Amino acid sequence: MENPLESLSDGELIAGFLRGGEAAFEVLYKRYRGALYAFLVHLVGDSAEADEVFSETWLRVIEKLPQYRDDGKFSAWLFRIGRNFYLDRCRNRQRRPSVSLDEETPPPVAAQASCEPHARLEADETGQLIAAALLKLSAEQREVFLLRQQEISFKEIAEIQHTSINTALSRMQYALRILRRELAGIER
Amino acid sequence: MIKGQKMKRYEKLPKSLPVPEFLDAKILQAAADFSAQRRARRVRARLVFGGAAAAAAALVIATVTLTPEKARPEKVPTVTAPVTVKEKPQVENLEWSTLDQESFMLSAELNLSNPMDEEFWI
Repeated sequence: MENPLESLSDGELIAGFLRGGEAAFEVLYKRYRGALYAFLVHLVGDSAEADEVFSETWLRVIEKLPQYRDDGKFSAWLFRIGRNFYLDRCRNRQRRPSVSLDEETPPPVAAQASCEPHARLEADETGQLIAAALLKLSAEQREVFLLRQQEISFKEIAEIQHTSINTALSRMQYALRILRRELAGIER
Repeated sequence: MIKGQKMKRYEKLPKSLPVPEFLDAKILQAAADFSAQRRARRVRARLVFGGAAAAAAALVIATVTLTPEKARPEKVPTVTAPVTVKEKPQVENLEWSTLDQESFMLSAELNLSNPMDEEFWI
């Protein structure tokens, strides 16, 4: 039997949650969890780190929901928080690179101040090739591509990236060009 | 997918991925905790607000009572103290206000005096 809450809009679910309805939050969470998780896994490239960014994003969302103004763009707001949280982590890591206690041993690659996604193995071969092709994109291009894949409008992507809509469109164009080139050998 | 374009190879990248269960549990628990905190804050706010209203009413009564008759302006509106004396709820009285129920529950939680004791209602 379908949960009647599922027919409610994001704004209505948020209002319900803020009035004390935990079930409303659960519906909202289930509506977006898979999409946000896919976005972060492909953006971050490392599933363990993506798990952490994912949970911290939702904790921040819960905390900030009372300040959320319903303009019908909850998904863009959610992805923006996730993306900003990830960038904050990258900046913090670059400021405080981990130091090995043993001078003889170089720091592990993952601990070096890199926010480039690690090659993450997808379940199938096509997935692996696509994930590898994503690594060829710049961070901004990858973001535009992944956000667009989640049907976030170019206007919202431009707002998220603090750039003009033309720049966002141009990044998408370059991203597609690179992906087409990288994936040219894949059978349809 | 971009409108008007055919399905491309790169669009085979999944838009949604299954989320590990431990993350679901962690996030839903955080939401439940947040919700419980907000409920508790609301109850406390109502109790404080109720107390403040009673104090303001008491101040009005005291001012009117202590000011000599002559010192009062001629057109002093009759002040009816908006204070209602709480009655000890009867078992059969089902019209117990929400505030009273919350006071009862809060005092029970905090192990304060039993609202059913005579002293509590004086």
